[in-house]
Amino acid sequence: MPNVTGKEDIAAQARALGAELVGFAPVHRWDEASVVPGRRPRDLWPPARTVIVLGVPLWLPVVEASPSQLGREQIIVTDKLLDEAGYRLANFLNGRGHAAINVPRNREGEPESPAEATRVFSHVLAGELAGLGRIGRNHALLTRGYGPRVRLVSVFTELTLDGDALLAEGLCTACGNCERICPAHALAPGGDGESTFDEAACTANHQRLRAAFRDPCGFCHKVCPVGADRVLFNATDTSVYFEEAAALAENPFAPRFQSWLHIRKYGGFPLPEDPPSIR
Amino acid sequence: MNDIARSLSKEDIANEAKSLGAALVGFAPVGRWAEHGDLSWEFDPRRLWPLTKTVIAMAVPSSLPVTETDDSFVYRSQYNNTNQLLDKIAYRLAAFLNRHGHPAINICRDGYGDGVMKIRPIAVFSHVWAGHYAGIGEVGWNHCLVTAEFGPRHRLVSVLTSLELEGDPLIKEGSLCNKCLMCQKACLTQAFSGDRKRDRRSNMNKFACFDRRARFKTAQHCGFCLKVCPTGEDRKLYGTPKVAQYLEERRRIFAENGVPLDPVAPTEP
Repeated sequence: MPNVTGKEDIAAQARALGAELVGFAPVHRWDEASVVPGRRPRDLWPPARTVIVLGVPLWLPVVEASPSQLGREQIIVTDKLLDEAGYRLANFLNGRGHAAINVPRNREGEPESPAEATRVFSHVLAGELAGLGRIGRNHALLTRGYGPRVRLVSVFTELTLDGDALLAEGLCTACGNCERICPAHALAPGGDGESTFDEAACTANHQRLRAAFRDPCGFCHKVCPVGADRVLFNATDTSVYFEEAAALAENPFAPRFQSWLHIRKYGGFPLPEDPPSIR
Repeated sequence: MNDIARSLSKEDIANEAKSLGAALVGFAPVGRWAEHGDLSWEFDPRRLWPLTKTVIAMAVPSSLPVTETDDSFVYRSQYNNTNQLLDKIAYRLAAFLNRHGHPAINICRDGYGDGVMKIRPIAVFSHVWAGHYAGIGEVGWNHCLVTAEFGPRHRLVSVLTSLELEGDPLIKEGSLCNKCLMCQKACLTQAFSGDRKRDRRSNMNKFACFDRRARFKTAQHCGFCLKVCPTGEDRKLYGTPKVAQYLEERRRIFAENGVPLDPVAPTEP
């Protein structure tokens, strides 16, 4: 079948539906990347030839304030937006005679852990293979625009399209911020400059926050120095995250942290780590 | 983020908001919170995000016949659908501003986890007051934003941006809520009280309002303080300019739930 729908048409449609990032990955990239069989696009849907990855950013000032109910709402809203955009993009392609399916975010059933959704298909890996960014030591997709502060969704199509160029260089600076800040101690330096991920530890913390309506944790996202959004939101100094606890212990009303405390105080249940000023 | 960082005008932003589905759009310079002093500093937008210069308030209508309905499913659907639409509009408007190099964040609609309202019945940000300072309406006796178009029958959301924009004119005090006290009379739980000569708006007992579901098996969704408000072009559109019928409905709800009729709150001091 001739390609009557080009990448530009598809990308323009995706942006009209709300995607801020769009990338294309031919399915053979999963084979070349030696992805575990069972988690490649054609395992899920054999006719797939191209994976279209859509992304939307999370706003740093909200991520920084986590854990908070506002942060939880930001995830719910962006996931809903992505699921709708993915579904409508699949319909757009189907309407033009190119079979397509969307792989949802998988938030509806409230996954037990941040990693659970990836058991069907990893949107993070798809984002890397579609050239949107590179996976960092925090196991998230780091993008130039927003570091790891992006949510992703994927659409599979039988249409064969050119892949976008992969990012040749990694974006992760291996600063170790994510490993040091993780309140669950789930990230630890491993071999080959990568980190090991203790999924059970991350999940236990996630469930604790979820019970208070203050998931996700997001600490490994807020501390990442990568991303032009840090300049946009005037928040390039990541050392502040490490100074917070001591500064608040000394002065519960330290001005620099009051906006985060305000956001944490409302909408969810108190957590043991909250300073007394917001309990 | 886009390389093309050009300054957006109010008109550009309002047009984008409307194309995303907003029915009403207003702009509030952040200084209005401190200047008017209706809320404590804790609820100034700069407390939530220090870079805030302008708050963009947006509303979508809740249709009067659905607000009036006995059917809780239909009512709840309208509530959830309008909230979801607003959250999407606000997120995408923030993305539009950020893409043009103007830092912005959207404040989501649903401000509470289940049960949290009973321990701390205040949200992180008041979209109602943002609508007031953005000139979309006037905070009325019922603590809702009363608008010329829909009375209090709408829902609101807000985007904070560091872009400085001219504020829209405020609504003249008393022009949309003349303290007729129909909301107070119609309330199933007598949540509103106050002296209309002394107070700009009622005292509201939020806990009385929350407890209505325990007291009334029917009318779980209530909505009396919204549907009873005589203000709003929508009343003409739907052909229900009069509001006295809601007091009759109120008596019926007390009777069918076997709850002794509360004395209607005093009107004229």
